[in-house]
Amino acid sequence: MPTSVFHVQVPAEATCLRAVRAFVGSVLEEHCGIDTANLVLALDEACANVVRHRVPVPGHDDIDVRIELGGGTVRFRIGCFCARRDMPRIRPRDPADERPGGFGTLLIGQIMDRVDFEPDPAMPGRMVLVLEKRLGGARP
Amino acid sequence: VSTPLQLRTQSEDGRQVLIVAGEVDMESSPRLLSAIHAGLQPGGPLEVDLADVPYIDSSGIAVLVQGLRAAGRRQQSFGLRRPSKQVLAVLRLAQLLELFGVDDGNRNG
Repeated sequence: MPTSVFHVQVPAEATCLRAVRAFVGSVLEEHCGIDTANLVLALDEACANVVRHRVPVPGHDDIDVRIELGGGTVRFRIGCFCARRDMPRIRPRDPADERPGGFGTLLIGQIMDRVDFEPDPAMPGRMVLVLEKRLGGARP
Repeated sequence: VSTPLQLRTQSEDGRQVLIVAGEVDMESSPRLLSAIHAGLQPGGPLEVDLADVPYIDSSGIAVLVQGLRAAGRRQQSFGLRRPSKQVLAVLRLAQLLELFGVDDGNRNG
């Protein structure tokens, strides 16, 4: 069970990503006391994917991030991340890939210990992206 | 504290040097791509100085890859100069240090 939960919600626009990074960075710095640059990067990549690939969902046009700290673990939940049918298309980039893009999923996979999807309880048919990282010896 | 992207190009010994300062993210990376293309226009080598980049995301990394490939198509030299700690870390995570010929200063980290 998380011991601390934080929540940030901003419009799903590229101009808002900086604010999310600043918020999450300050939360992690205050409560984890470690260099959290990579964690902020992983979350930012996930949020950028929401902006880049979002499809109109009635009543939901935001990036919705929940941060859970507890038991030596940082967990991010990004709500309404994708439709269930889109999950098979979200996979790590092949390093031999010739495309200039597609690094975001690779970075997330390199940084986080667990990348998973769960049904979004607030949005039927939509999935929450769950990113989890164990903090060795850190305190949350 | 977030730092908006600032771009400046200068000539040094026949090379164009694009000096990048500030955060490179999904919002600002298109400006970096435009600056790289402009820096390649004179036809000589282009170096991108990344010493003052406190944050770069995958869109910024993708722009650097695009720049490298654009330079290759034009048979021009393209290199990264003085990557910041964060840029180096992201290049390492993206497994691109070798592609850019950047020395990994933190092999044990």
